[in-house]
Amino acid sequence: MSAQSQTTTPVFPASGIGQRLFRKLTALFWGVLFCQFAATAVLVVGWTYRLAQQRVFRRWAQTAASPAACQPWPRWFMADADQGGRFGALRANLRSGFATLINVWTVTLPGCGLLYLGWSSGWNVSFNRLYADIGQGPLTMLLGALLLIAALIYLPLAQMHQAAAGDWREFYRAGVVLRLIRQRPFANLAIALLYGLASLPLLLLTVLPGFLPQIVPQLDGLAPAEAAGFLQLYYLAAGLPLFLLFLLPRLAAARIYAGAVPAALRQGRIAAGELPERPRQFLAELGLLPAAPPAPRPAPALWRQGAYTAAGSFAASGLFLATAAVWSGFVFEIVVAQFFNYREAIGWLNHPLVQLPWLRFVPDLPAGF
Amino acid sequence: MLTPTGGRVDRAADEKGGGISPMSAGNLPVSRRGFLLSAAASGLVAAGGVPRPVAAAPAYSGPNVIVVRFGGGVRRRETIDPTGSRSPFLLHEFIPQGTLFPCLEISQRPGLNTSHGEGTLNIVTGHYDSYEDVDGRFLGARFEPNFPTLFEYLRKAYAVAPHETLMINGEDRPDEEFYNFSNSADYGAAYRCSTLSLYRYYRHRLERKLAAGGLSEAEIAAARRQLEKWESGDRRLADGAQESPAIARFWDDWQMRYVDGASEDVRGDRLLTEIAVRALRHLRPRLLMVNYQDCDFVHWGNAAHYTRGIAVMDQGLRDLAAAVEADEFYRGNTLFAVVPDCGRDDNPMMAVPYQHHFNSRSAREIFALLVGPGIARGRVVDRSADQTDIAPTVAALMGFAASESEGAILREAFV
Repeated sequence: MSAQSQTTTPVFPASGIGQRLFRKLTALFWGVLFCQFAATAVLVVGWTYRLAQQRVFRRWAQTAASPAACQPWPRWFMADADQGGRFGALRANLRSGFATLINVWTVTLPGCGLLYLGWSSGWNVSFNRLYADIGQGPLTMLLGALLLIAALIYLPLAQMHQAAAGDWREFYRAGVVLRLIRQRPFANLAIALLYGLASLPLLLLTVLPGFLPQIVPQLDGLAPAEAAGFLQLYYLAAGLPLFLLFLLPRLAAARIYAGAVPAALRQGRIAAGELPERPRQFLAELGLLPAAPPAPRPAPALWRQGAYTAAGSFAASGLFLATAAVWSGFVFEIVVAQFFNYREAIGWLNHPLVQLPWLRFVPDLPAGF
Repeated sequence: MLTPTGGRVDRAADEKGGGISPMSAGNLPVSRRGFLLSAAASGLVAAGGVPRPVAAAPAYSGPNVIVVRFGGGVRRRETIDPTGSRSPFLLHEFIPQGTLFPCLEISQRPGLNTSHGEGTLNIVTGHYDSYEDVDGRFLGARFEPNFPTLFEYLRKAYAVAPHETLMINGEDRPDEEFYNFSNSADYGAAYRCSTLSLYRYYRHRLERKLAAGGLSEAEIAAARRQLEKWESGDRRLADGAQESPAIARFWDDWQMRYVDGASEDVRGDRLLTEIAVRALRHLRPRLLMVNYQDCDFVHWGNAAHYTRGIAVMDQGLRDLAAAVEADEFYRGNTLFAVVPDCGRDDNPMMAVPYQHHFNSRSAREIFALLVGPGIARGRVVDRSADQTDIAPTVAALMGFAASESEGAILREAFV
C-alpha cells in the first residue's frame, strides 16, 4: 500500500445546502445498508476515515482562517473531489477500509483473542472441575483485557494520524502518536468516555434479542426461519444507530487530532519533518508550520523543575489511569454482552464500534432447536 | 378465621388438598431467629433438633422416596421429547416404568422467579413464594422457606432420624445449604434434614484434622480461619446444630474410600450421584433429594455444557435406579420423583437458544416423572399440572399431609 502523495492543496468544491443535505442523506442510506454485511462494512470503515481526513484538513483550514469552501462528504462509489476515475471513491473506500481494519485488528486481536480463549477455557475448567488450572481462564482474560485496553488507548489518534496521511504505515508511528496523546490527555479521556457511552446503545441492541420474546409476546414461539426474518429487519433498523455511533467518536477524534498537531508543532513536541508528507504540505500552505523550532525557554530553578515534573507526572498518571479505567469499562461491556447473548467467537473478536461496524448476528438453528 | 398457628383458612387451598395457607413468617408473633435462640437458651436444641417424646411419633414404615432435581434448568426438548432428548435412560427406560406429567409448569405470578433456588423450594414446600437472599447479597440465593419442607413434614409425622432425611447439594451452590428447613414455627430446625455436599465433607475433614492434632500453629490458625469463614456464611451451623454421629461416620468412611485428594477425581454432578449411592447404602435415608445442577453452566455460552450436563444427570439417574434395585432395603419399596427446578429459554434469536433469563414461557415449562410402587406404569397424564403439586403428592404417597402446601395431589399417577 503506497502513500498517496499530492503536491497541491486538496480542492473542496462549493455546493448548495440542498445538495449537501441530499449527499448526507444518501451517505447515511448507504452507510446503514453497508453496515448490514461484513463485506460491505469494510466500505463504511474506509469511508469514515476518508471523512475523518476531510475533517482534519477542514479544521486546519479554519484555524488558519483560510477561505476553504464547504466540503461535501466523501462519496461512496463514483469519482470524488480527490479520487478521480470511474468508481474512484469506491476504490478509495475499499483501500482505506482494508488498510484501517488490518491495522486495528493487528493491535486489538491479541487482546480480543485472549479474552475469548480465557473465557472459553476458563469455563471448561470450571465445568470439568480441573481446579488445579482454575487461574488459567481469569489470568488469560486479564492479560487480554490489558492488551486490549492498551490498544484502545492508542487507537483513536493513531487512526487519525493514518487517515490524515492517507498512508497505513503512519498508524505505526508510535513515537509521534504517543506524543500527540500526551499533548491532549483530557481529550483522550473524553474520547474514551465517548466510546464508552456510544457502546451502551450497541450493548443494548446486542442483548435485546435475548429478551424480545418476553417483552413482545408475538415474538414468543417463533420458528427459526421466522425469527431469522425478524432479525433481518431488527438489524436493518439497528444499522442507523450503529452507523451514527461509529461515526461520532471518529469525528471527535479527528477534531482532537487536528488541534493536537499544530499545538505539538508549536511546542516542539513533534518536528515538522516527523509529519507525513500530505498533512505537512497542507499545514505549510496554511502557514501553520512553525518557521523555526521554538526558542528554548530558560530552565526554571531546579526545585521548580522537580515540582513541575512531579506534579505533571502525577496529573498525567492520574489522567492516564482514568483513561485506562474508562476503557476497562468498555472491555467489561464486551463480557456483559457475551453473557446475555453469546455470539460465539465473533462476539469477542469484533466490536462494532472499534473494528468492523457490523452488528448483524442471525443464528443458524435447525427447525427443532 | 385464624388457626391456632396464626394462619388463615385458605378455602381454595383447602379444596385442593393443601389445607391451611398461613400468613408469611413475618406476621407470626415469634420470628424464626427468636425461636431458635430461645430454644437454644432453654437447651432444647441439640444435635438433630428438639427431642421428641418417644411415644409421640410412630415409626415410619412407608415407601422410601428419592426426589431427583433434574436441573439446574432443563427444557422438555432435551429431556422428555423423543425428537431431541439427550437423556436416553430417562426417556426410554425410566419413563415407561412410571407416570409422566409432561405439562408440569411453574405458575406465572408477580414476584415469582423461575430459577434454581426458587424451583427447589417450590418442589419441597409445595408452595410458591418470593424469596430474597437472607442478607440481601447481590445474586445470593440463601433463601429461607416460609413453609415447611417435605423433610419437616415427614420428621414431625414419624420418628425419622435426621440422617434418614437427606438433601445432597452440589459444590457450586453453597447457598442451597439454606434449604433444609423452614421458618415455620410449627416445624423448623427441629425437623430439619441433613445435608451432604462436598462442602460438608471439607468441613468434616478439616475438623477431623484439627481434632487429630499434629498441625503447626500456622496450620491450626489457617484451619480455624477457614472454619470460621464457613460458619459465618451459614447461620444454621452457627445456631448450634452440628453433624450427627451417623453423618460423621459417613464422611469418615468416604475419606477412607477416597483418601485425601482422590475424591477430586469425582466432581460435579457425578459426585452427587456417588454421594447419593453411598448414602443409600450407609445411611438408609427414607427421603432423599439429589440436587443436580451442572447443565446450568450453559449460562456462560458453551452449548456442550448443557447437553453434557443432561447426559451426566441421566447416567446418575440410571445409577440411582440400579442402586435401588440392587438393595433389598430399597427394592420394590422406593419411589422416584424426577422433576426439574425450572426450564430454560427457547429463543431462536440467540445462538445459544436455551439461555436462562428468567420467567420466560419456556422457563416455566417442566415435567414430572413418578416411578415406583403404587404408581401406574407407562402412563402419560397430558394435562397442565403445577410444580407445587409434587410436595403434596409425595406426602400422600408417604402417608402424611403437606398441610401448608398449595399444590394438589397428582392422583392420576396412582394405581
